[in-house]
Amino acid sequence: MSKIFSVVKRELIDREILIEKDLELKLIISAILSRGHVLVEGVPGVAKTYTCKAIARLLGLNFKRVQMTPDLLPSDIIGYYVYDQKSSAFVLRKGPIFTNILLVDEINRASPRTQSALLEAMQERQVTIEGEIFKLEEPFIVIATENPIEMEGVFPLPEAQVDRFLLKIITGYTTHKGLVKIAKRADEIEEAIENLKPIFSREDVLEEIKATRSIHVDDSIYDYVANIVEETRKHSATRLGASPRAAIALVKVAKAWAYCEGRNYVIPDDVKAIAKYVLVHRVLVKPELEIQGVTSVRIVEEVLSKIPVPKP
Amino acid sequence: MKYRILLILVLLVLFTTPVVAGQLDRHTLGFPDKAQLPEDVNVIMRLVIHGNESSEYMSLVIYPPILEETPESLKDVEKLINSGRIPLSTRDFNRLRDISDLGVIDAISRIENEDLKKLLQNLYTSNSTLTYSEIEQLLSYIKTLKAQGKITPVDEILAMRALMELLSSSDDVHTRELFNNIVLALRELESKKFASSLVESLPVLQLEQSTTNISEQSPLPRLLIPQLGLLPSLPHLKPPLLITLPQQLVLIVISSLLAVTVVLLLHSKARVEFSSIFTGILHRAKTLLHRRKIHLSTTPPISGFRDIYLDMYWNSVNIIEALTSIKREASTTHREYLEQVREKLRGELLSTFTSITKAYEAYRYACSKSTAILIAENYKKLVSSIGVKTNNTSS
Repeated sequence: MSKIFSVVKRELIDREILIEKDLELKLIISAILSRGHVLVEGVPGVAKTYTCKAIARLLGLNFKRVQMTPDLLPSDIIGYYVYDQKSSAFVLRKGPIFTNILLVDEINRASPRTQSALLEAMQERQVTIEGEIFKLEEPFIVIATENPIEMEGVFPLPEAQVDRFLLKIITGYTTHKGLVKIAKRADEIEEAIENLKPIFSREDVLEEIKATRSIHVDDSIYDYVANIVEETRKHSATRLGASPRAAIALVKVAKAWAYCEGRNYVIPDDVKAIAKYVLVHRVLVKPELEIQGVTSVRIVEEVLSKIPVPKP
Repeated sequence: MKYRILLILVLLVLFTTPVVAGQLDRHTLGFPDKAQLPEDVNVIMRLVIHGNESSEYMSLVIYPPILEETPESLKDVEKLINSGRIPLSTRDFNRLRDISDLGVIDAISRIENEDLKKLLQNLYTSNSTLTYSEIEQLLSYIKTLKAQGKITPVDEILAMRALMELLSSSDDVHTRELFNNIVLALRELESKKFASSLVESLPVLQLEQSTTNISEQSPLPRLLIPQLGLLPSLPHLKPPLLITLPQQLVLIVISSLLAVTVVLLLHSKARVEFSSIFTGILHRAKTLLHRRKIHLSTTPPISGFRDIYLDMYWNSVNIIEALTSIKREASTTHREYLEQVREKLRGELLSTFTSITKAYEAYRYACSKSTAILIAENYKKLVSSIGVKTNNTSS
């Protein structure tokens, strides 16, 4: 079993620092182990930043946060050269992208130019400043958030760029019971997060990433994944189905999920468990059906209920 | 409770009345009681055609004639005509004589139908080669005449022969078609022979043709069918399943049930005891039913599986399906199915099926051969716990 997941779960969930965030936590850890980026959609105030911050602290990774605005420039994220009068030379001032976990708040508020710069860095895991290439330190994970409510002054992410996020987590409000707990322990939680000490190191994380890669995937599981991806394209309500990148993502996250579950092999349940989060932002619904209330979540659920699991 | 017992009593009476009444013979007098179907159509033929049971006749009925050898050329046709196997009157025979060497004028002159004759003469005098569409139209016209009964097969043969001469030498397709039409006409002539011979063999029709005195003819066939019992009887009004029950047995069962009912009505203690016995019988019947279901459902899927351990898992799924009545969907994963049946399975059965499922997953998706033993052990445990005998138990 993934040590990272078990320890993080014990420290954050069992100690109730994060309340009712079991699934989100597991998905984010799976994304870290799969070297993928996460898009979190949720209304403000549902502990998106806290979750990322807490995970980064426990893993001993660098954590930075960027609040996106329409006037933010690519250089504000990537970095730029400034003239240093002391040394009479141009000195590189690295942007917040030079970190391990980058929380990009309200990514859809940034201009398309800035979004593109960021998404390019996500894909290539390197940035180019003044013609010079800089490799980003591993692990490099972007956790971007977007607010589904606000529609004015935002630049929705293009389909091709959304595809680069390994997972999309739609997070919501807690239950009444959870809310009561949060209200009671608000100060305590804040303090606990601030006082979190690293339990792992960057090397430990890289080690677990390596271990995740070695998780066994049976041929029938690959077949199952391919069937799911193909079926999203065939669905009558689909405008754009899942890409081959989606199939790769499904396998990667399923491996990480199996590792978190304490198995060294993937079972159909792993694929089913994460399929919704991997495919939901990759499947686009026909506009005329979207108006009628058909969602990509529903399409994915229908596909999963249709595709037979490997037999025997 | 009393009302229920009374209701059962009434139902029993209603149920048994037709049983007892069913013992009475309800068939109408004068009509046969049982239907006797003929074994062979030939038997009917023999009965209808009174007295004619010769083997020659029967063979004629069963094996209709065909041309023994299909002619390949006009020479063959001529040989066939000259052999006398085609029944022709002297006049028709003369008309078809030397057909292989027949010229256009001779062929046309031998045709009896005037319209066809004139048409072919006009074609011949126009002295031009027939086009493809003209031949098609001509053949269609001849077919129409034939369908209307205006031309005989002999006329048709002669017309075809004349057309063969009028055709250009390069038109092999139509030459072949015309020749085929000649062969078909010959077959028609031969089948007429068969029909006439059949008519001749019928005694009733012979009667009309006969020159002898009517009184000397054999009498018309008697209607033997009703006497032989060939007519189907009227449908039986007795319920098909109940008529086999002996009347005495039915009465014994009814009286014992009545006695039990009366005791139950009068004595509350007896009612309790009877209820427990009845529940026991029901439970036993239910178990037997389950066993049968499981046995049937486990047998077919075995073939085609990769190996015995995978068979064991899928057999156990079949068993659990039968026990819980929860059918596993194709898209349901192994763990999802386990969750579905969790509530319906208790104690050891649940833990056994859980172990099988997990061992199967490891064996199937991780190629963990060591878990095969776990599957086998738990499968045996599952089978023995419910008392099902399957083909795999021994292995």
